[in-house]
Amino acid sequence: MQLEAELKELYGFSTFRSGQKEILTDLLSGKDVLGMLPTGTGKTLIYQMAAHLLRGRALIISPLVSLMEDQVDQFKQAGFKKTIALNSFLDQGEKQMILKRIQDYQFVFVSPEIIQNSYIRSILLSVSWSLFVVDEAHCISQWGHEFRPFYLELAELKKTMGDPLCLALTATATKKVQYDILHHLDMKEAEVHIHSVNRPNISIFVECFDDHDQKVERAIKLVQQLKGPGIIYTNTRNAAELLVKRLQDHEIEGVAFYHGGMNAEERLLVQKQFIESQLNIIVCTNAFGMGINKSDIRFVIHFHTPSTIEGYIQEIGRAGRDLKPSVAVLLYHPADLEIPYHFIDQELPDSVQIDYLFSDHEQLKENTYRDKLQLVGFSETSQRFMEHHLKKAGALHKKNLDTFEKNVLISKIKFTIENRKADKIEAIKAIEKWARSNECKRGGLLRYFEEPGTEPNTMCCGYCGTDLSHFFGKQASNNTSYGLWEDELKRLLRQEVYN
Amino acid sequence: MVTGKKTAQSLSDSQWFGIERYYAVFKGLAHDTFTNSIESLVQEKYMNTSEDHVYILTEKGEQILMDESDRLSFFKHLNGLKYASIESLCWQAITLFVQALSNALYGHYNYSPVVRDFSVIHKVKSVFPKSEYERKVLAEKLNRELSSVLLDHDTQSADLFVKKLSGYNRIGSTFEQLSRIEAMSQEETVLRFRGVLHSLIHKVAEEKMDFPILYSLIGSFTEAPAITKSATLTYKMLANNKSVEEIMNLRKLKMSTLEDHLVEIAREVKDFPITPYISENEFIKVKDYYRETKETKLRPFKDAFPHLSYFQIRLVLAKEGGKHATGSRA
Repeated sequence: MQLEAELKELYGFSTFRSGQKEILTDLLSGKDVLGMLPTGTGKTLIYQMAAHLLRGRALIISPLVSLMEDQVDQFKQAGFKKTIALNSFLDQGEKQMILKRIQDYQFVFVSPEIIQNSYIRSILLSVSWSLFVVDEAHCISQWGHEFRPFYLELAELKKTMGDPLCLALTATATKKVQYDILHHLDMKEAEVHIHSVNRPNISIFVECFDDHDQKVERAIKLVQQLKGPGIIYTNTRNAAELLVKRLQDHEIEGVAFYHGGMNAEERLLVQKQFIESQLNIIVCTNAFGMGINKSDIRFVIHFHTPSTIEGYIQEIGRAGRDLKPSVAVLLYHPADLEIPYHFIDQELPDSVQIDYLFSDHEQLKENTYRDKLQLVGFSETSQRFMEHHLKKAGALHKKNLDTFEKNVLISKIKFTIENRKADKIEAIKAIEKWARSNECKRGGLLRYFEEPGTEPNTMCCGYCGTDLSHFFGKQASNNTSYGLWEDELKRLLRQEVYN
Repeated sequence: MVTGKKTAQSLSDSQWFGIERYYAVFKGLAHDTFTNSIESLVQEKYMNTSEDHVYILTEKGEQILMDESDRLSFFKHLNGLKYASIESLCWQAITLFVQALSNALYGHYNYSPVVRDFSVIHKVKSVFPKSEYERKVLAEKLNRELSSVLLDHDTQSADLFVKKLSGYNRIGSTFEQLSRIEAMSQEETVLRFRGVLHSLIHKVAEEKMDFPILYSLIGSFTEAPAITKSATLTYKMLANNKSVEEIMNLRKLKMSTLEDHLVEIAREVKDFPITPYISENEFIKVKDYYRETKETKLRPFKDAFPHLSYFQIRLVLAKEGGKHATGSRA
């Protein structure tokens, strides 16, 4: 009962959501926890409360820099002002200012990459920590859909920090991935709380198209009919902008695109407008939808099919965080997955690059492998991948390896890459199969996570006969137009307006 | 030049051709977009090409500039070379301050800030009025200060600027949104906005007594010499008695980079002594030559003073010519 009182005091809620209290209780009794909770069910609340009740400091490892900044905003707005994110966007002066005051912070967000930096590490190690939180913990597993090699080094960091209480959180982990999280984070006696990925208040629809124009028409029609606010996901920036243009041509107001190619200041304005309900719909690429925390999103449309089932679940999970009925509509076209297929090759180093890295080429000769990596021109993800493997082989700071060692390492890396590629292709095939299958859509998703299906339900999915018109409606628009600038300036500064 | 590249070439060209107001007008403009615009202007016969990469306005081109001169009068407010490096900080401080103040005036303290820059947040916090009474007084003054700046502009520009502000019950618009609402190109919305911003910075810097609130927000940015971050650091290290060699080693910079910094500093900081890098005697000789010939290209100087380095000549020109000579090698 005491926890409920704290909950009321901190957030004004009287009851916990499913899973929150159990995990919190375990943490407070000193046990590590692996928690798998469905998207949008308040994972953040767990470690906010835990750190607060433990009167301690929490280090939170978060995979996306853009997401981290949004989380910091949300923490501050929730009243946890002593929150900071350490990321590569900070300049030297800012970093030093933060690090000097590290003991003043209660919540410190870091990316797995930035803690590779020995200076940052030493500062982090200069204070004590009560909680080690690994957010999106599925990134630790190569079977996960967003494998990040540096997650594998977290166990060692945790140990150096004196083994603070560890909380690993994810919304989407298959059995294999759950095992990997426990293993790689060295959580031997952890309590495991696995909840269904199912979000019963989100009805699921998949519509298949052979013709791109028809799909565009359908997207426009849906936006006109469905009650907002809503998010539309596309797989490229360009597609997001084009779709916004089409919607605007149909006189749909309150819609904007939101993606990583935008100027940061403008992107922030769009995000805040959406959260303040000045905008009704945003069209975004999947990476940038992650930080949007708005509880009343009524629909998520996938204009393109995402490359994994896990990603799809994460993305539709933006909808209906207020637990009210919401809808997810996937507009499938066979060509959708051409881009994800192409990404697979881009994300991982190709063999020409690898051979060049290990060659005796004049330009590389005098450098350590760490510096050679910069010279080869890998993509960001490829570079991270290579850095991890070179480090693991103890070669990162060497200038050369003997021929035998080198050949073993090369073939090992290439073998890993081939396996990773095969996994990713497998994942794409799985979502494709699910999209085209003629069965209960919810059941299909649950089966992927080795969960039993649900009871027949009238709001389940398109296959189960749910009527999409349940989700139709007009969105009350938050009209912000005004007449004279003089009057608006006066309104902003609360001056009398005489007219 | 229009993308705001800080090279000796683009800086000096912008001054030499008297187009410094357009310096950095299109930050981030792609080269292709630029060439395409030029090509379409030629196709529409607003310009002729006389030789490779040289374009001359046609009569039709001159005519349209005349016809549109009223609409384009906002150009006169731009001062890119002077303000491009501080405009973003100034704007962020103003918009965050207005957002915070506006929300506080309506008793709304839990708003989500539209600015994340550390130094800006720090600045705004440091000047933010603590009591309700202070906030009311300040709001009235700020309204007067902003109105006084905005009244120098046409309605459209003033409108854009106010729509870009955030406050109680409203998050500011993006340029993309503004260009649709106002039915003008995105480029024009950006330029109009920056015209207002530059004139604001100018007014506040020149007439600080009349703009106490805005000055408290952006004064520290306008007082600093307009040099790049990296050159500023060099300047500070020199002021702390570090030698050029030490700075080179500490910061792992190339000599040529450091020379660029010194030229930049010599141009912008009036009392920066250049005699550590060139003897007093040589300095006077080069200076006199410059005054006589009004030459701005480096080659003739090098011919006249073969024993001096290009760096030494550039330093003198930066110091002396300031505005009109930074020395381009062409």
